Amino acid sequence: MSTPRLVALTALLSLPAAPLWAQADEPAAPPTPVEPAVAPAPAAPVEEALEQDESIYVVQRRVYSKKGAFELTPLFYTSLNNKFVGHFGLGLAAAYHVRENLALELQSSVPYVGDRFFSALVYEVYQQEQLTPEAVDLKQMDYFGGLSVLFSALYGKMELYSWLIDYDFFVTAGVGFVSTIETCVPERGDCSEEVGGTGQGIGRGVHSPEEAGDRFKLSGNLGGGMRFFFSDRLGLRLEIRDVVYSDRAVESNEVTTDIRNNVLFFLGLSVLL
Amino acid sequence: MQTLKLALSFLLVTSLALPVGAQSIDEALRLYKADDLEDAAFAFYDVMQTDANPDHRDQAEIYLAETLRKLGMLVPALFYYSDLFRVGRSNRYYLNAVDGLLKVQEALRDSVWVPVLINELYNPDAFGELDPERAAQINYLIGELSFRQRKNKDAKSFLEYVPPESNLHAKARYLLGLLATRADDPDGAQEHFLAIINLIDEDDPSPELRRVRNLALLAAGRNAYGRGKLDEATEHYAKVPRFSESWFAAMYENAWAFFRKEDYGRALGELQSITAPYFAKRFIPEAFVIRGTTYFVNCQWDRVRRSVTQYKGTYEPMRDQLQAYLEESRDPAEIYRDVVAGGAGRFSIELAREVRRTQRFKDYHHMITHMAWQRRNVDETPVWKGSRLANDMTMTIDQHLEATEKVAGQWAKLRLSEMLAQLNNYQNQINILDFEVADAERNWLEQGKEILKGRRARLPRPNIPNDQWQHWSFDREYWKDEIGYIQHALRSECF
Repeated sequence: MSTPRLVALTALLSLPAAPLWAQADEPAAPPTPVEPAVAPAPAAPVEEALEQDESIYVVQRRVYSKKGAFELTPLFYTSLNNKFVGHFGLGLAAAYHVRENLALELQSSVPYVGDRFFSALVYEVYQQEQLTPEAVDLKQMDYFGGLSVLFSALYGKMELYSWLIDYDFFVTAGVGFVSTIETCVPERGDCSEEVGGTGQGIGRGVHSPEEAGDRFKLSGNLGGGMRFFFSDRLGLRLEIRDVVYSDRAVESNEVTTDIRNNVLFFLGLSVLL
Repeated sequence: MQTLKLALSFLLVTSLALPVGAQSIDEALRLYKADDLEDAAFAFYDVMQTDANPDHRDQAEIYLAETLRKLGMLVPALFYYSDLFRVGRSNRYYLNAVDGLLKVQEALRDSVWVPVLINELYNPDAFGELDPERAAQINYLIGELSFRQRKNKDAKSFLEYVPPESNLHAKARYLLGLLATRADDPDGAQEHFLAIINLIDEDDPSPELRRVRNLALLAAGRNAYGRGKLDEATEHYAKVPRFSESWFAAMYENAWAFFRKEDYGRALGELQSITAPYFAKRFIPEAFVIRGTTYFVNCQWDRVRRSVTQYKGTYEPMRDQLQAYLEESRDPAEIYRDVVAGGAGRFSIELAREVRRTQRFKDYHHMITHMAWQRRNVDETPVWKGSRLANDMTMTIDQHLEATEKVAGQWAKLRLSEMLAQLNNYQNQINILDFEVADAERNWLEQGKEILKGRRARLPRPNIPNDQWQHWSFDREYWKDEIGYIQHALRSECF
């Protein structure tokens, strides 16, 4: 299925579109004779209208082919729905393109690279004891990885300064694995006595939950994005993915649970191997 | 006789009496080695005119020719090389002169002066002493000249002597292929064309060799088409690299091959591609004939009529104008200049461009513009101003320039006449189509069939071979990368 081929994306990128092509039907040498200016031929609207009912298509070999190729993508990610906690960091994705429009992908964040943080809202609500967020809401995702299927049914192309760029839209779904950490409770687990009482701030530090079940979760991934290919080897990838998992926290013998939706935005540079 | 004696006496006196300030050969050579070429040319000329020693005069002449060639003054260099060359092998600078002539031929892209001279004074024994590449060049030049003169046997003999190691081998094979076609030997011709395709890589660094390869692909396609091997023809045409000089012709001719294969959608697609703005102002009368014929066999009378009308609106006036132009008596040089000026309003720019697009015309034009530059350079070089050397060079260049313009003009006229013949031929075909469609419409009306078509429904898109291919809808917006991939979906409307 073909998509409109230029307008939406050039507008999106706010970049001026290049002219369709430069006229260059004469070779450089010998010097081309100077021609008198020729008035452009008058348009023929009637003729054009008559030809509108011809069924014309372009059946074109793909400029950049992905089938059978491995795609390696270093990614930067950041969370978008930072209600209480947020994340950013680096990731890596390795995909194999089974077909032009279908790929299997392994994706992982890079541990210890990037950061997690409490949102400003957490600090605000802690000023008012009545509005303390539930413990589960303060848990932070410190690792995610997964296996996904990428399917791309829509494609398009655009020309930017005589540079042909192919793009496609894809949807992705898969299963994965996440690791979470929770806020500290004084004298519990590896949290010290002083924690929380010595002005360490509202966040009170974070640590890994004592129960492995509270730390490691199975997750589902659902998302979509867009890939631009500038050459047979290089591309740019934009993606939004929701990493969904069920989470649980225990604080002062009170258990809180939640279905967590971590909506992440990814920006990556794809290399086709 | 008396005049001759007087002239000889004058020459004797002027050559014996060394005027004050005259240059010696040693001084001239010193200037040459110091790369002071303009002064060296002047000094060599002086020695040539005044030195009593004939050996010095010969030496000065060959060095003068070399100096002028290095300065880009190719026509005067050609003159002095020719002078020594005409003396024959007995002159000790004979082989240097031949070598110089061949270098001038390359630089000037000369298909007139040097080939004719070498052919006229052909000396196989002496030429055998040359470097193998130079010997191959001579064989090629004489072969090509003979080919143009339709001396097919001579052409074949000389061209077959261009060895595979030579840069000119591919060009020689191409001409041998054409000679085989002339001799009604299509299999032999195809062998030559395929040999070239195998010999030269598609990505060869030499643009000239790539050009020859593309021409061979075209020729192989034509040859296969002529033998009725339509799939093979299409295959060769499709291999002509996109955006190369031969690509347009490949698509244009491929339309006929698709038509003959009854793959009408692709035939119309090729024609759609060649009418893209990228190929604006091309001479494409036959496109309307193919399009009209394609619609005719699919009983789409209104579309046939549209093709006929478009042809008549464009090419009938073009033909009338060209006919009137060619009927008037004109100096060939004027025709050359009109072609350069895009028809100068006297005939269509499409025709002028069609002539100019040929390699032969490009070579003539290169020669003429180069000669014009040489002429200006003589006037603008202060050392030579007002000298006899300058006068001699001016005279030589003017003579060659005038004669070359004439040759180019004659050739351009020949091409224009061929195009007029083509236009007359296509006009007949269009008239036949016009008559046939009227007859077909009458028959349909008599049978009570509807001949007026409303807007037709959009037909399904063509199949794609595999997922390495993509569909795009064509909205009359030509994308450069899509040219050559356009296809029509066409359904026969015959009952």
